[in-house]
Amino acid sequence: MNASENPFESKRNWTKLREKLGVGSFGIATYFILFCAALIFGQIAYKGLPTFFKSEAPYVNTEFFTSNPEILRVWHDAEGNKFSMPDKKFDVWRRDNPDAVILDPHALNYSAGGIAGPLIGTALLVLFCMIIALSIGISAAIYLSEYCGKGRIMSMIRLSILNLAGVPSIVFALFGWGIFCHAAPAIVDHVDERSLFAFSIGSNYLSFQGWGTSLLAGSCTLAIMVLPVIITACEESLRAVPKGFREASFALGSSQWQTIRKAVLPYALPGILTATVLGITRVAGETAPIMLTATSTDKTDMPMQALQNEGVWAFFTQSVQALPFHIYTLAKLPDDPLSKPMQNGATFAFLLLVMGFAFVSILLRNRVRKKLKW
Amino acid sequence: MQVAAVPANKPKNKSAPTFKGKRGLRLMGLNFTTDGVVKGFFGGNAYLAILALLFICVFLLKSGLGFIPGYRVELGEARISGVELTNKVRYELTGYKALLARVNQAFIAEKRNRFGDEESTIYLYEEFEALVDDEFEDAMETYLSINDSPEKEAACARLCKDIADACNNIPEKKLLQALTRRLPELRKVSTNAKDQAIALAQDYALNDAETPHAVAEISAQISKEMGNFNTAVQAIKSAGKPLIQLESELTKHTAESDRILKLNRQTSGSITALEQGLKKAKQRDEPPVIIAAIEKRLKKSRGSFIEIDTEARIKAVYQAIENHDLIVDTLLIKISKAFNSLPAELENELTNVTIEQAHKLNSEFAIIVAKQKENISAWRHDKSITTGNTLAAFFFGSEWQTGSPWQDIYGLMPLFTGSLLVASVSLLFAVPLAIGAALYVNQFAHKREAALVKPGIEFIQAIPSVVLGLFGVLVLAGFLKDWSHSPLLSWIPGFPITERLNVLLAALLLAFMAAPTIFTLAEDALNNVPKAFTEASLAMGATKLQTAINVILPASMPGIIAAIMLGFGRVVGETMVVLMVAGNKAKIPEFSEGIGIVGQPVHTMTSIIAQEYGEVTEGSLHWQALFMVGLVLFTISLVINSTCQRVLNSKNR
Amino acid sequence: MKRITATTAIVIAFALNISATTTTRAADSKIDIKGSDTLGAKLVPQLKNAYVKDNPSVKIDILAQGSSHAFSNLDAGTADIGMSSRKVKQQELDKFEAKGKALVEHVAAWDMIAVIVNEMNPVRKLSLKQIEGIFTGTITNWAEVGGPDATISVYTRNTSSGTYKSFSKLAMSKNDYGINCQKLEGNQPIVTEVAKNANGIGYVGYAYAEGNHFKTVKVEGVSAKVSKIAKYPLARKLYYYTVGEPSGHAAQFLEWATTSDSASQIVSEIGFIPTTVAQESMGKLTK
Repeated sequence: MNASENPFESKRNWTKLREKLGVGSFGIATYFILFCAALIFGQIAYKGLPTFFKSEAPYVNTEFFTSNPEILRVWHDAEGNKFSMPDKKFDVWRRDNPDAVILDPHALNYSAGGIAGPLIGTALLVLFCMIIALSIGISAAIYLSEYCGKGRIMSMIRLSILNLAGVPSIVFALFGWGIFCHAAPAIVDHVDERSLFAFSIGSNYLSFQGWGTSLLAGSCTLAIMVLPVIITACEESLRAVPKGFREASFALGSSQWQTIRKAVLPYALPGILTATVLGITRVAGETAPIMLTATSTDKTDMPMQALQNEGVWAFFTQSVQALPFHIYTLAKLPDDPLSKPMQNGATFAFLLLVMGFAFVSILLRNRVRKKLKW
Repeated sequence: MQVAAVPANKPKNKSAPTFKGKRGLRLMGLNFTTDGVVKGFFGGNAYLAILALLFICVFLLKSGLGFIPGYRVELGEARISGVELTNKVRYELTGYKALLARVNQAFIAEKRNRFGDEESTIYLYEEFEALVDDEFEDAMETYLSINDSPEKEAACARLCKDIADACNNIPEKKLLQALTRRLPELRKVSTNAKDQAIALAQDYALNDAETPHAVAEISAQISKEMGNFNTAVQAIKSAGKPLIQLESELTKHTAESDRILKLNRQTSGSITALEQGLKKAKQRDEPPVIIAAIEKRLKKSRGSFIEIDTEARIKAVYQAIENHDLIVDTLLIKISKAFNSLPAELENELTNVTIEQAHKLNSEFAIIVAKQKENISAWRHDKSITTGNTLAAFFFGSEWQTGSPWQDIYGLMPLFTGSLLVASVSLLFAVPLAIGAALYVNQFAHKREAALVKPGIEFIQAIPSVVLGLFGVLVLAGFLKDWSHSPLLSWIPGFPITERLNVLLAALLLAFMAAPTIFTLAEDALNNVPKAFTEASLAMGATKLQTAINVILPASMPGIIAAIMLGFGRVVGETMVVLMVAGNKAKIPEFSEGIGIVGQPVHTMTSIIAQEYGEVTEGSLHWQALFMVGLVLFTISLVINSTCQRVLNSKNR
Repeated sequence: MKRITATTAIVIAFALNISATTTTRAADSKIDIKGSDTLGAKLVPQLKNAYVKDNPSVKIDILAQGSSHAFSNLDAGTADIGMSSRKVKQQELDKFEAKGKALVEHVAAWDMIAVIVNEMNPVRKLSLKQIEGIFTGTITNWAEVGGPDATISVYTRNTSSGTYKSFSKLAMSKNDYGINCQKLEGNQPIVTEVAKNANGIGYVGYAYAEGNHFKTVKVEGVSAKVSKIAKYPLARKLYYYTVGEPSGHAAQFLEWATTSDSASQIVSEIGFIPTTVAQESMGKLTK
């Protein structure tokens, strides 16, 4: 609208300008944040995408997602042509060309192959963490919101759980490292020297010797870390179910459990689901706790192989590679252009993974908000 | 839910069988109906969760608080042995050394200004020496291996010629570049200096890569010709000798006592450990070789207790310190005398500036001396260290020094200020952006626009911190440093930045992490303002902007403050980003630099845990110190969170 | 209801997993190697790669976060082999002896700690005394060691690194680092910072000493080159540690890694100096 055409506003030019400037600057702030996000995402995507694809059919670099990190061999021949080849391929090639001239050979770690090991490791950590955190967290939330009253102690407990949700992850990491890696109980047939104390049960011992750097320790640490978040979020969504639903159910004579199952949980489920995905997002992106409790830098086996070969306990007490820690390792590699594709690809894959969870959680929440209005 | 108990306890009512659970078992007074079991299960899990979370607090407290008595013992040893006193003297010495270094810098600046030509000979020679090292290593070896004299002469001539050629082949521009880094006024490489340097380089090659004496002689000659200035610098240098000697004597003496005390403590630890080990080894039926080895070690350990007479040793310390006042007083007088003999106004601007700085350092040094004199005379070795002292040493200590060959020092201050600085600077960026965005989305944006923008900003929260850290190290750090060097931006205080990893970089990345948190919570707060407020304001003729700023913003203030505080909590607790980009320099940032402080690297509480956990052995003092840091972080976040809760609750009422 | 019971069952099963019959470690064919970043970032993964090719039944896990990690993990029983870029400390040794166990040392390779500066920096050599001054914080300006008038930015490893301690012992006469040091994680971050800061100085393992935009300085007039290892003042050994004499697969791996030709080939390709080469060079000097 042109100001001069409107006779009522002609005197308020200054106010109008100020209005425009004010709103404009707020708008700029908003879009500046989004612009930064787009910039970072774009930069990572631009660098990482080439690793996802390759020039020949099937065009998608499946190897990147299905194989473990590998060594890249680099050398040049007598004419000065540069070659690089993943280690396994190199062995085959060497067998076929035993006479080839190899000058100045060197090898770059983790610069070929893929990220399957770290990817699976992260998936397992998140999976077991969520199993532990959800089973405890949801039950605790149900108990707190459905069975407990509003006494002083309960509200204090609620408050402290809420407070714990804001505690830095490194503190939980420190805790997990101290307890799960060094002092958790395990049943063993031979008490290790590091055990804090042990007593015998039958032919075995219950020994407080910790689980070492392991999948189990990592999952438990992450679970403890995310527990307050899940309890708070689930309790909130349970409370959001109108009281009338419960009262109606009780009026029909159903028991407490029946009421919860039939009249409360179904309506709180979307909210709980959102909390779950939110939890996953938070857990999957976390580096510090697993760095202290669960990861190894380099590993021969895929984690599943331990399950087949050595049994359940070995599976849970093995250390795993994890994507965020792998990225951290890659960041510390020597600055070589040949190492870059793996680094960029892994970063982008990780970003996509976590953003994917976030996307799902935001989508879910929006749907919940739309659907459930009472 | 008191209603709940009624139907559950009245299962006798048979008229509504469909809704009633089966009648369960009654065992040991417990009701094993489905309801009871379910309730028990949920309750059990709830208490498990609460216990686990409670356990964290207990564990942190237990692991952390053990630090205080442990550190107290160490501090006590430092006092009884006199190390503490030595540190006071060393503190003075640091002041003196800084002063001396500054005077020395002025001297070097002046020297370079006056004797650029001669200096450039030395610098050129260094360039040529590097060249000889790189290219003539084999030639030098062949030359050395020749013993026959005529052949050797020929080889010598050849080598000399090759070197001269190679040196002359270096482009003039490159040489000039190397020189102007040190002699910024230089415009041309002097031929004279170059020839001389080549001769020296040849000398170097012929003498089995020994730097020729002539090089040292040239610098000595230059210093001599500096006249008054040289004598003044030499005077300041020699004036410090008594203090340096006092410090080194004290260090030697007290460190020895401290070492013995520590060793004895360690030995007694070793002996108990070895005794246990021996018992265990015998139980396990280890081979006799191993048992014999342990027994031998045990015997050796028992014999290695060192008798120490702390009283006698500390007496020697008191004796040594008696002269301290006299020494520092003479030192001060000598320094001021030397300063007076310095030429007042010199041609070179750099020299003048540096001398001025030295004068300032001198007055600072005088203050330090006056304070330490008092401290030292008041110091008593037999005053016992209280828990309060220990706590003060931890919370207000200005040094965090671990992995030290002498004594670890755990002072929280550098880490605490680092964390605080990074967090507050990041909020400076995040708060206006996030609140502006919240206002925009809540008040001005179109509904559809808001529906797109809101999840977009919330999406940012999901970017993993390690990815952001990587982005910071690889991309943003370089950009920021380059920008800060561009002349267009030189008006910004603190620019140009010399360190790539610094507070500003960490703060920018953290601001990006905190903005979505603050945005979401602030937007919620704005949402909660009753519609009537807006309507009333608009009805009074206020514009939308006026309504937003003067009515809605104040009305939602508590919520917004809570949002900012929670954002702060998030930033303080962030680990990976600061570990990767904050620079990890465990020193209290220099607040005297004003806004330039953002260009300094800092260390933070979170990154010290991530950086040092790998080093510590379970239960050691260092382990406990890290838990203390964790405890501090824990407390900070608890305080922030509960304050926020209170703010929000009071508003709701 | 059933679903919830199932979930509960899973949870309980999970919690009781602990009570599944368990095996003690090291009985199987897995070798856990933990410790130094200097060894574990480049060398050991490649040794592992080559070794596993010939012995496909062996599994090797590596975690490289600093030398001190080696001893805490060996002590906790969570590692079979510890990698360390320094000798074990007495306090660490006590822990093992307290349990009636011995710590056995195996020399992995030789390394030289190279002192690096930016390529723009005209300083080409430093004496040990100057290095000590720079890293302890008494020398703060490049002009004092013959460089330009600029404040020195000092980059060091973090305290859990063995290189951090070796350097303090070899170059700083066991003095404490000054408070101006920036402690970085790993060798590569130091290289990156020095390459991008004209006033930077840092130290790295020899394997990292070659690259763009930075150069090594001569220490006491000796440059960090394999041929000069006998004279270079900052040369050091790198170690593997085991609890007691190693046995089984760990022993075979160590035997192969420290003595075989193919292993020394890898060692020198990476940029360390195989023990045999270093000893030869030392021998020459004593002659």
